[in-house]
Amino acid sequence: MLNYLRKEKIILKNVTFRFLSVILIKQGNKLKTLAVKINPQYHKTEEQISFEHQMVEAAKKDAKNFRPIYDQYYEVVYRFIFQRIEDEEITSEITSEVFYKTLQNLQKYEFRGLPFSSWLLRIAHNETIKYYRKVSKSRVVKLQTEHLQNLTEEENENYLEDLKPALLNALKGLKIEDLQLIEMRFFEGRAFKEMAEIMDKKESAIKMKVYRILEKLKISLQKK
Amino acid sequence: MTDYKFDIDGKQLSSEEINAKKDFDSFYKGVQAKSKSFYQKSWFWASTGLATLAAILLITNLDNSNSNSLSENESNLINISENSPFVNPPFEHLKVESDVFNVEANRGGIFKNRHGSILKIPAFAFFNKKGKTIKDQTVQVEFTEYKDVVDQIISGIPMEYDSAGIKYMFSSAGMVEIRGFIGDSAVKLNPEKPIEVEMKSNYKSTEYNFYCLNEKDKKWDYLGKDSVSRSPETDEDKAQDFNSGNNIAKSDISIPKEEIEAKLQAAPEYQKRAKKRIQIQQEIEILEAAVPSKPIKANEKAEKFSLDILEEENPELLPYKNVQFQLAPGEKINPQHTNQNWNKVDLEKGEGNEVIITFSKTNSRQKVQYKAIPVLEGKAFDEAHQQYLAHFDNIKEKKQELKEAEQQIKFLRKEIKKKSVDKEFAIQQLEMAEKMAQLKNAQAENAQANKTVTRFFTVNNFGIYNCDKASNMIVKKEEKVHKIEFGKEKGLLKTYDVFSNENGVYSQHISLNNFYKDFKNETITIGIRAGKLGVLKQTPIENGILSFEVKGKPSSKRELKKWLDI
Repeated sequence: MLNYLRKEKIILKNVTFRFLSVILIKQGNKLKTLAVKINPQYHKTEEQISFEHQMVEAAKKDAKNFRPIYDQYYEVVYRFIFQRIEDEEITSEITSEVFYKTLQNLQKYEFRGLPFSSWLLRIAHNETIKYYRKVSKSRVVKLQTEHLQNLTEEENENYLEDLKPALLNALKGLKIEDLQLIEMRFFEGRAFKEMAEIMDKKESAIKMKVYRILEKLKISLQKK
Repeated sequence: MTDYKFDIDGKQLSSEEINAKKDFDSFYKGVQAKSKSFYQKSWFWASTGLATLAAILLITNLDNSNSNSLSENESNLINISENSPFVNPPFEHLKVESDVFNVEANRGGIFKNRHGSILKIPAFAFFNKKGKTIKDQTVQVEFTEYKDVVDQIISGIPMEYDSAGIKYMFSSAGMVEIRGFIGDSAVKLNPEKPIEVEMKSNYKSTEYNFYCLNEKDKKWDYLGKDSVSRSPETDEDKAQDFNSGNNIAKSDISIPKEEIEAKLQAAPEYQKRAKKRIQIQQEIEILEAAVPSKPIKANEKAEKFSLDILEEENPELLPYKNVQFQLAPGEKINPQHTNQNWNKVDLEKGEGNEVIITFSKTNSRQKVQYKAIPVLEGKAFDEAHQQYLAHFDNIKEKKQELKEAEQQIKFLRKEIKKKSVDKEFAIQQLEMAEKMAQLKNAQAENAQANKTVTRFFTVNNFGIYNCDKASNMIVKKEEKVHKIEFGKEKGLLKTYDVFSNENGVYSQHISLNNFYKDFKNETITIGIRAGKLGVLKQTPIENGILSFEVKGKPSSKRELKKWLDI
């Protein structure tokens, strides 16, 4: 937080780095920072996780006890799918399918001290992929202007309007596997650990991958 | 490349709106009857009305569950079965293995699958969903071949053909499914660039017709005839090979690579070693990605400054923690900058070893920049230099560990292969005589159908294609079903009459108070309910009782074959 020039007795106070990630995109070779507010949904106390575990165990014994899980996570799952699907009705159906698959496979679920939501979202992720494999539709990517603003960290709105097409083009050039990671990290604010659990990969691998994608985006923007 | 549709600042739903859709009771009631993803069901797209009707029927069914009336349950289930997906694999974890070919769209190519069948794909054969030719991309073509009755059952593809209201069973000379994908997206076939298929078949008759599965209209479309040519190797030749002596040698036994890999991956020892290998690979990847910059020794006379970093706030800046920034030649500190509050610092790579450090303020255009070289002095430099060298030693060490881990896996694979060959050798010796007898019988019974031939046809759409002849089955007995005995399982029941000699299966949805048809010449009749398989104990059935010996959920195709006694 504190930054000072020692020998010359120059003291610069309150130099605060608000940011959790360093992102290397911007025109030219400038190093930029990007704010990522991590989704608080993922962060749970040990007590909360333990309570979740009890809920799951109860549901394993009797499917009727699945209700608290369904009630608690319906919105989380729905939002995850609605982020990727255009239609509300189809989102509802896929959400039901996710809970159906969850219930069907509940006996196989092993508690590893991680939030149950990660497992649910892994199923939701797979169901969404299945959906797009079956229908001939473009993959929907929903985002807010503020996400783009964050991505450029440019406060001048006119400048953002100029950069927007290039940025969207750069995103369009990404493979679906890569765009999914950008979506989770920067449009949904998910922690690397949670992303790793959803994608069933190591956290370190996900981190590495995200930084490589950002490099790719940077190069793509520089070409424009 | 996947097509994306960006929705910027689109509709956002409130928690209230989402939670209004939540209905656990309906969900729970629907769970029992659901066996397949809704969007895999063609009827979903055709009519949500039908889905609603099925749900209402199901709710009625479960509401009546207290009355414990099996007949009511079953009569409702028949309505649901009518709305079941047209292609409906009965065993969730069992799938007929496919071959996936990576096809360069500009070049096409010739591809051979595990059964020896061939796909000839012309250049520029693929369309994207907008109907434009796909260029400069690789398309994954998934080629699945359904060779026998077991494959037909596993596939869930209906093998019945309706002609003018009369149902026939398809006696198959071979069936293929061909699909194309780029990433997650399905691609289409350019109708003017059809794929030529050369399918290996054990049935040489020219009586077979050629059909395409119309999944939209839930029917098979007749396309005409395929053409047949005899392959150099026939079953007769095989029989002669058997006759020519018991000359099976271990060196002749080839275990499919996939099988060895499957066994290897199931071995706990492999899992342990593979886990270690992945761990080492990741460590190497991380180490290689994080090769540090070579430390530079500070010039004692030059002006320097350092950054004091709060670890929790700025973990990405930790590498700069003990670094001194030596001002670049020509740079001077402006004392006016010393007593101001700055909100932000950017580090930007400059020329050579230089970095440009920019201090700025929120909501202000004021910025100051200094060019400096990150340097270390004294002990810090010595330590960093040691660490720099140690980093490369570490990578070298990890690579050696990786090599050893890979050698261990290689050795394990070799061991597994040897054991598999020994086992297969023993089995083949035992089975040889039996196979010989079976082959001779088959030749005698159906001299027309026991040749290995190549059947030629072309396809101009991705989908499921079948070389079939429609067999009119003879009903031996038709009886009203009064009782179903299928262990403790409830839910939809589907029976399959298996006609091994004709390479066909005939399926029926069963419900109480409906008629069950018993056919002549079927090899075996099985029932499938909730993913479990049961073998019909008695045929024809008596007193309207359908009684099954429940075997369970098949874990493999081999197990299924065993249960079907094929």
